[in-house]
Order: sequence, then structure tokens, then C-alpha cells
Amino acid sequence: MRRVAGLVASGLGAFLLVSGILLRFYVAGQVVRFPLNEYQITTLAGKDVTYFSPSLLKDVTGVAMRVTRTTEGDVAAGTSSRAVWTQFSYSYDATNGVAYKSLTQRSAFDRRTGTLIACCGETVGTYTGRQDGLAFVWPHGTRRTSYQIFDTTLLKPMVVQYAGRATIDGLPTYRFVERVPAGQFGTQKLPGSLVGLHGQPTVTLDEYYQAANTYWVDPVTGAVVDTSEDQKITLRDSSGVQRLVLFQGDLPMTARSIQSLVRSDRAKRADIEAITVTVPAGLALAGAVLLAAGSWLSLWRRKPDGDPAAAEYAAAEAW
Amino acid sequence: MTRLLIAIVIGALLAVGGSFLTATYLAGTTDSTPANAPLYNYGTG
Repeated sequence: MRRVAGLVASGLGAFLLVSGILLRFYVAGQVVRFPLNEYQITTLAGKDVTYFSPSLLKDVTGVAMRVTRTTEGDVAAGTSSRAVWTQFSYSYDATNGVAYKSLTQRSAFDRRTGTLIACCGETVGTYTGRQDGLAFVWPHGTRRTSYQIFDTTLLKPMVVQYAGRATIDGLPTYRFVERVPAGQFGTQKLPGSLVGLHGQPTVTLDEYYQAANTYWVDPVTGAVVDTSEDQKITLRDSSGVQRLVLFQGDLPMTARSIQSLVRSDRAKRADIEAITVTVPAGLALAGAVLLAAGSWLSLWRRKPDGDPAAAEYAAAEAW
Repeated sequence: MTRLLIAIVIGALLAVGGSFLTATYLAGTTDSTPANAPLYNYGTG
């Protein structure tokens, strides 16, 4: 009876031990991936924003701007290693009750690293070229180092530097900052009268962009749980004189959006920690104990006390 | 000793099979269609 119990315990112990090891080193790798079926809405809100109104043909200052971002996964375009998400950003002048602009970004990325990849109809507005760096998410196990992020204004990857730890709504995060010094990234042709050059029917001005975009990232899940975008886009003439402000403002994420993201992230974080640490460790420990106890039970036998018959019986039992 | 090794091997094989099935099942849980999108009134959220 003891020997049978020992064999059962050994088998169960081996099962638990191997399950724990495979859960950590195989199952977790297969399961911990960014989802194909993402759906989330976040809002950035800024006060005292200045922008050029195409309808009023003048700069509008001191307005409250809301940027609502809806992100949705394209499940059909995704695979086991690739996710495709589309984000629609809608900027709204809440002070004057008019739309400012909208932008659609469709990007494909690696489901483990978050790195953008070429795939199937990626776009940023009318731009359909290559996208590199990170976009919607950061790697699982984000490290305290610099990354590249795809800037949707410059349409190229920019360095985003680690800037320390921060706690967002009780969640430990890493803070990263993308600093873009003022630099020309395009030109715009417009009537001279708009920029005070009344003698010229049309003028071509250089488009300048500078930004300090901050991202708070949960290093375990790679999810961005807070964002702040401080940007300035201006038109300058050939001598470098600023002629028009197209956009200037600081857009932090709303508290409601942060709470929603953190709540969603906590559930993912708990799942990841369970499947990579807690459950594998528990299974392996329980398995090792059971395996050792079962082996001892099935192999241990009482000394035969010099009785040849008992010794023969014990030997037969053991094998 | 032989029976003990057989018990251990059976346990390990069951673990390998179970892990494969678990990975297949869990990997599919995030591959479904996105949750129903609520109506959203832009500019008010």
C-alpha cells in the first residue's frame, strides 16, 4: 500500500514539477502577448491651447482642447505573432464647440516586443510609408533604457529616453520622455495676407515642430497608462521668423482615462505575474516535495532482520 | 525502481500534453473580435 502511494505521489510530483517548468518557460511565452482584440478609448485634455482655425482663418487662443483616441484591433489582420491596431484621434475645441482635426493611425506590431513591422495597409493619415520603432505599446518587461518611438507628426522614429520611476494611481511605472527640438519637417503654401505679407498672393513657409511627449509605462505589461503631449507647430519664413502658430499646447491625459487604463492594466499585470512567477513557482515547489516524498516511500523498505524469507520478499517487492 | 521511473515518466508526459493544451487554449482567448464598441459622444468623454 505504501509503495502504491509512493508511486502515485511520484507521478503527481513529476506532473506538477514539469508543469511548473513548462508554464514558466513555454506556456508563458505563448500566452503573454498583446491582444488582437484591443478596444479602448482615452482622452487628453488641455487648457490654454492655441491653434490655427482653418474655418476662421486666424489663430484661436486660450481654448480648451480635447483629444479623444479610440484604439481598436483588426483581428482578421492579426496572427499569432503580429497584431494590427487602428487608432482614431479626434481633436475638438471644447471652448468654441468646433472640430480641430482628426488622424487615423493603423500600425502592425510584434505581439511580444511591440516593435512596429511592415504588414498590411499601415497608415498615418495619408502617409503609407514604413513605420519603425514603437507605437501603441512597449515591450513586455520594459527596461530602463532608451527606445525609439514612431512620431506621427515627423513620420519617423524618434528617441524616447528613460526618465525615472513614477507611480500612477498606485501603479509603479517607468517614465519615458521624447524630446524633439524645434526643427523643420515640411513646408506649407498659404496666402501671404494670412501671415502679414500682404504684398504676396502666396508664400511658402517652413513648418517647424517641437515637442516634449511623456509616457508612463507599466514595465510588466508594456502598457502606456498615462501620456502627456506638449507640442508646438509653427510656420517660419526663410529668415527663421515665426509667422504663424499652427498648434501650441500641453495635452495631459484626463484622470478618468488614467483610472480606466490603470484598472485594465492591473488585471493584465496580475495575469502575467501569475503565469510567469506565482503559479510556476508553486507548482514546481509542490512537485519537488511530492516527487521526493513519493520516491522515498516507494524505494524505502524495512531491513529484513536476518530472515532469508523476509529478505527475499522485500527484494521482490522493491523490484 | 522501474515502476517508479514509469510513474515519473507518465507524470511528465501528462504535464507536457497539459501544457500544450493550456497554451493553445489561453493563446486563443485574446484573438477574438473586439468587445462591442459602446456609443461614444466625441468631445464629452
